[in-house]
Amino acid sequence: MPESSPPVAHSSAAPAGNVLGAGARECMAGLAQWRIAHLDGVAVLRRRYARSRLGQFWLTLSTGASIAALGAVWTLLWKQPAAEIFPYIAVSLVLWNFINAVITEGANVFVNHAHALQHQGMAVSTWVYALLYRCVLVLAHDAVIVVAVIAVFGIGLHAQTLLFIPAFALALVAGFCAAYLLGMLCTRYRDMILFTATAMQLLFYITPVLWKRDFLPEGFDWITQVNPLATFLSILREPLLGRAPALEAWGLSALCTALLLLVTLYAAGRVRRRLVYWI
Amino acid sequence: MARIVLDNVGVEFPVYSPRSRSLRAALATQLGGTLGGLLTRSENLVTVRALHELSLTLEEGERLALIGANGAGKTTLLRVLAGVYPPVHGSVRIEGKVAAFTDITLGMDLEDSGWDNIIYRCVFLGMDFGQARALAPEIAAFTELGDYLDVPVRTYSQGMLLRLAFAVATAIHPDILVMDEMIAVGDARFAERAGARVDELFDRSKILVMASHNPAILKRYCRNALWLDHGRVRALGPMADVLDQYEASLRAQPQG
Repeated sequence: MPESSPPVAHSSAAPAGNVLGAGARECMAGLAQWRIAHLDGVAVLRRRYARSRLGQFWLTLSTGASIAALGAVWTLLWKQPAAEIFPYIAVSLVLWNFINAVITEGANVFVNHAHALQHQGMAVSTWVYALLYRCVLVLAHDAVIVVAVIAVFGIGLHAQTLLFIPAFALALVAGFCAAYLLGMLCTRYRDMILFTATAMQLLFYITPVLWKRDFLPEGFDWITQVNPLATFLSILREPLLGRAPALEAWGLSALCTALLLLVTLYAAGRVRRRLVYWI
Repeated sequence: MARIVLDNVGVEFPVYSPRSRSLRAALATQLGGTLGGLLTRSENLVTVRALHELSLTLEEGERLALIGANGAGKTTLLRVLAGVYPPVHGSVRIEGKVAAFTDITLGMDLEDSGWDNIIYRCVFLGMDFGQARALAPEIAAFTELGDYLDVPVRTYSQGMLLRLAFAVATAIHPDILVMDEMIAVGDARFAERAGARVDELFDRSKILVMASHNPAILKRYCRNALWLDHGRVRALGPMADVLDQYEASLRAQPQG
């Protein structure tokens, strides 16, 4: 590594106007450490399934079993058409698992890497990228189920399927921001870790994952409209089911992402300086 | 080009009680403050001052020893230099690539083989995968671990693990090297080879800052010394002078 590195300056009085710039630099510096994010992301999954014969395919297996059971209940008990409810539940549950993991594990992202943060001067966002990468790897394992269900129930590929790409890009940016902010908040206020886990359980019930929006009685539509998780879920899900997401869902997701990004850059520029002292 | 400039640096650690760690308590404190000071901020927040008004300039070629009792702020200063602690007061300017040896096993995975861990450590120290793979055979040869490099590191003895960590740590080319205690390894024969390897590493490094309680090691590797006492600079100057003053103060207070 003979290349020279630029000088690093830390001052207790960060220039006020430049906070967003400093935040952007911190987030880019974390991206430059993608090798560490890759090693850590893979290592955590490997450790979780160490010495089991099926290894990480337990991920696919357990998600698949849940979807089969839930789909059976919905078709047999509630008489929903299988061709409609199976793909819906499969896609929703797989995507929800991703969203849920980013947020609940985001709460712990800095607490879990306390040792590294105390021993190596590096961009703290590295660990957020590592978390995001790990969640994407898990999603890739679950994607097998989505592909199978889409094929079996004859949904197939449409032009609208391509809309998943911008939706996923938006969700990744928002997920990075949410995990970064929540990670900081939870490092300072440890009660928030437990609060986050509880809140996500409740959000699971009021987000249309296992039920559809049109199951809601008249006048309760607002439940899904004020819930940003429902909005993100819909822009991710609809393309995979061969439909274009509603325009308002796109707008709301983009607005949420932009706001989150602004707050995150501010936090990364200013609050990040205190983070290591909270560990 | 390597240079370190600390200007009036202060570091304080907040000590949060479980009470003030909760958001509810923080809100109550904030509101209490505006509602007539029933609860004050300072009620929950205790701060420990680790470094105080520390100014220091280290130029290329510096070999600095940090001495002082436990809790004097040596490790905190090393972590400021490593970029771990942004200073609470004052400013820090560091020119050059810093390698901090405060934990030379950071990033290792005990479930993986020695070979894998060589790569992990190299990446943590700032190399890309190509550089790490190119350096791995030389590092592996130095460890003398042979076939053990193919089995998970959790099967290693403590000495073997240290040898592996040492071999990687001493293979790098930093501008600034920050060490908490001398990294020492192995049996007598290995120690001799390790010594030569450390000498080479120090020769490559443009600035060395080392904290240690071992005067012999400090005298061997360092030119100047900084004596820290309760987070303040007590003395800074040539190794022998500062060490004499420090040891004289220890004799004056035999309980230290």
